[in-house]
Amino acid sequence: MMPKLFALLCLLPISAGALADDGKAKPTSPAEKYKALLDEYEEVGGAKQFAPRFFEFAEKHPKDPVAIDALGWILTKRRTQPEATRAIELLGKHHLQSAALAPACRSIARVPATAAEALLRRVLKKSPHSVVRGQACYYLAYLLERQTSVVDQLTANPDLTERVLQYYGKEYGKHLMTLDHVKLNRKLEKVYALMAKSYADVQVGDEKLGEIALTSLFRIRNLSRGRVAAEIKGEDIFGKEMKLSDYRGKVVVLTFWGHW
Amino acid sequence: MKRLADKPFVLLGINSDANREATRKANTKDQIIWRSWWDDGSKFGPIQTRWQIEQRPMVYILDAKGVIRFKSTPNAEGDDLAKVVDSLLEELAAMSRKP
Repeated sequence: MMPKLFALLCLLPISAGALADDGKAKPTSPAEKYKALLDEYEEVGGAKQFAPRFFEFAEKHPKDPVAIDALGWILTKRRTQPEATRAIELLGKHHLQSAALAPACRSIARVPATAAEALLRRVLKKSPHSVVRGQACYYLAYLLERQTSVVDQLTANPDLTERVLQYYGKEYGKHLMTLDHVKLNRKLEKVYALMAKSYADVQVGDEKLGEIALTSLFRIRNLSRGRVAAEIKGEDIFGKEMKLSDYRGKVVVLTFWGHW
Repeated sequence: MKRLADKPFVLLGINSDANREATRKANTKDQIIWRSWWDDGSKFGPIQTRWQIEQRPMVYILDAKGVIRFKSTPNAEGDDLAKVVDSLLEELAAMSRKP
């Protein structure tokens, strides 16, 4: 008897409040509706069950920037599922012109599907907002860097094949296996060159894209497989002049070492 | 190393020790026979900074034209350096056979 009464008493103020404040408590604007949906999800849980409602919301408000948040939620919570590809599709269909697209770029880049790169490239080409294009440019580079790192690890250790397929899914995993280090580096070089030229002043975290782009361009052009190595000029440990290019004509093993 | 003594091959180092005198002595004592650049006695010396070295030891292998053909990767166990060197020497020999 006691617990039941207690529960009833607890419920009372809430329902009374809801009744008294009917107009305000019921969400009306898309932003309020989205907040209510998020709150409900936080309380109940189950991203898979909630995903259709986030889609429904996003499709009901295709002009509202809050729909980008809803699709971004799907990208994060259902990152490796087919839903993420559909969210990418909707972002491309309804929000390409939106100034609010910048924060979604990171979530797009993390989706293991070829649609992710395609959308970032479209945003980079079509968005009317330079900050959004800058973000798309940065996260396109991020995506290509991740691909390069997988390709390099696979080259060094083919035993990782099974794990790559497991982690990235069969379809995207197989796609990753068709990629080539040198070609990826050429793609990256173009992206960083564009970043340096057009988005140098866009800020990501506490860094400017211009600095990131120049460091990365140097690495790709002078420190990566398939490229002529950067010159090294200096003196040896005994104080004698020493230059890397003096060793042309020989196979050179360079080791960064010390008595650590 | 001995095996490659008469081949167009060289091993070079970029040293990041702090004490140059100690490194010289150690080099003589340990019979380290490769030449090394001195990089200002630090892991943040100008050569390592320019080469964006984040993990050590780090190994690069260049062909006779100075092109990077191999770069050690963080998660690769037992990178077969000797194999890479041999195949590059073979490539070089093949190139000089047909001009």
